[in-house]
Amino acid sequence: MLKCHDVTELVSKGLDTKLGGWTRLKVSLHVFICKNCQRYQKQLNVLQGTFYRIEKVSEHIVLSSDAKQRISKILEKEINK
Amino acid sequence: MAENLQNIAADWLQKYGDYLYRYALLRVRNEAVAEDLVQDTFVSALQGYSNFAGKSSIKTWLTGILKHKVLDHFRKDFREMATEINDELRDELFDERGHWQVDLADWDAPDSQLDKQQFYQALQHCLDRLPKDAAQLLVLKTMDNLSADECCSLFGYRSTNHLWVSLSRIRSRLRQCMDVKWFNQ
Repeated sequence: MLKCHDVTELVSKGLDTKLGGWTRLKVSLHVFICKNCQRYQKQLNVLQGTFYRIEKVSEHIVLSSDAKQRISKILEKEINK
Repeated sequence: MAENLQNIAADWLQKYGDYLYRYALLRVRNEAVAEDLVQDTFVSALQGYSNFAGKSSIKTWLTGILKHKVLDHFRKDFREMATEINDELRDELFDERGHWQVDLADWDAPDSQLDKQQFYQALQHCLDRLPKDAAQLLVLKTMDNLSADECCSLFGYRSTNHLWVSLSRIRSRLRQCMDVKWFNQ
């Protein structure tokens, strides 16, 4: 019988690699009857998903004009080498 | 030729500079380092432009070069961190028998909420509060689908088991922080 602590580690591991069939089944059964582990799994999935949305919500972050100027000069030098 | 390249470089910087900067910043989490990586990417791209076959878009090509630069940065910057993270992020959510000590709140998170800039800021805040390099590891593993072996060699893990434990603790800490910072404020 898996403990909640084991389940949280396996839920995370399952995001990174494919779990074995038997382990997957044990995790699913535990999550089915344990409210906290169910929420934990859902929340890790939400967090995992947010990484793919970061691009969408970070468009306000841009290179400063100073950095652009500096890079521009370096590239000019590189071209005229 | 030089004038032509001059125009091309200016065009790249204007069109893709900000995108590449965000890509680098998200992964290395340091503005000066991110700027340098973007600069190095453009320099390498100019040097290799004659070999660019046009099989992919310029943006994809530049991003590919930057991706290598980011990984090289971590390779050069190698340090033993694995044990540090695992020691620093001990789980306090469970009792000695491995059962929950607290009840988790339900995250009621419609997608529209997650696309808000405030959510992004909360996430950045929580990533910044993780131990050194933990956020970088999580981002590289999640967004670039780095293999376990690559993660182990870049971040100094002796075995993949250590890596899984670390990633689990990092996610757990991030979850706890977002729980306070965003979902149950």
